[in-house]
Amino acid sequence: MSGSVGHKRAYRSPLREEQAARTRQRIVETAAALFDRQGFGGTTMTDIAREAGVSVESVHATGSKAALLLAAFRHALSGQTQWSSMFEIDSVKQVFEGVDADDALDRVVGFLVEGHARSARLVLEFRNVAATDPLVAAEWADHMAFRCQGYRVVADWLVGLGVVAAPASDREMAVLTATLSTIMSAETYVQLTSDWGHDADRYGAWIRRQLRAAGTGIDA
Amino acid sequence: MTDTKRAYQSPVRTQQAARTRARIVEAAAVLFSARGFGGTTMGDIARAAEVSVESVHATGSKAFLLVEAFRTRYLGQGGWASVLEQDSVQRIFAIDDAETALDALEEFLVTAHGRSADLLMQLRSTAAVEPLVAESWAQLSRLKSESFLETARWMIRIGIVREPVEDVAGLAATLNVVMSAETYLQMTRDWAMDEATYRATMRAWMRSARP
Repeated sequence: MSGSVGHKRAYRSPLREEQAARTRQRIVETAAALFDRQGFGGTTMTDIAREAGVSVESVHATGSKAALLLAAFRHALSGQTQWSSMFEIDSVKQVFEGVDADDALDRVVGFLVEGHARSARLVLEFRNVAATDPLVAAEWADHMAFRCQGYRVVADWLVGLGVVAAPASDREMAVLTATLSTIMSAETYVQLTSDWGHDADRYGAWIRRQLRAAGTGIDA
Repeated sequence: MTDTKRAYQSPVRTQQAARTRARIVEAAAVLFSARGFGGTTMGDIARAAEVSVESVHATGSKAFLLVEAFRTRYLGQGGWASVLEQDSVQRIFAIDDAETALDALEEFLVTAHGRSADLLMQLRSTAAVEPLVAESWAQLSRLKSESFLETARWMIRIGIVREPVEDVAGLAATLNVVMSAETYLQMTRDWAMDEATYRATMRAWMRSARP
């Protein structure tokens, strides 16, 4: 992410740094709210500045609009903006503390219900804007690399705990990973809760059943 | 849209009008896919279709063109109210052998999504911020639910879904997720699945689908 302020300064004031971090957080939160409400295309840097009560310069110093979209999504998902891997997120770490299949499923469902409620629409906006905006496309490609890497670990972990049946081949494992990722995705969450009107409980129950049954029979 | 009050209709002129309309809708599809709804003007569409801006407006509003572009790409023809009334879809529902039906479904998913998945995503996200598109999207969503209920019943009847199912509406929702543009994009683009693997994955997933 470009243009973070203050790192070249010799003397660092803790007070000023705290203030800068708070301003940055407000800008990212405001950007998230506006992108969600007005879409990426319908939001200007000036809108973000006005709504956050800061100067347009401060918004630009926090990052480009494309970088703000990535930061907004990350913040909405995790409450943290500065991570380079899914596994640095506290709520993700907690999921992996699951000790057996049932405990793991509870944690996965809890994470998905909360995380998607905050960030699913931003993910879809992110994907769409990436299809038409090269700068956002680069951020999206980075995010996809994290996501795929993350889901490979998740798939191994779910197989290890016996939530999902062990695949018979490398090809089955690749398909299983893609399938698990699709089941747990923001895209699927939006389809079920928004298009089909399922509530959080029904969505959670669906996730449990689908994960338990995932990936059977591709090479059968 | 036009011509309803005209007493005499010239076949040549009608044919020409239909061709112009098709060119406008296809230009809209290309531009909306590449630049998004917000990044496309009626002037852009007119230029790409090589017609006047007036002709574009006469075909419909920008919101209408987005919906029509999706419908045309999805089924190869626009203007439909329900997927179930379309010949290509009725031909699939007329099949009563599970394996033949799965072949036809695979083919349908690859063709329809290959042409229209990006537009569907544009339609969904534009609906979130544009009231005019939101109305059309809500209508499409209702039709989608109806057609997946019908799909679920048919898949149970001809034995594609083998396990007994009580919650048919729940099965319809799962089938919608499995067969969706969103899933197509995730599998083929995010996970870089080749077409053969996507087909095999869909086949296995439709067979083992549960509510």
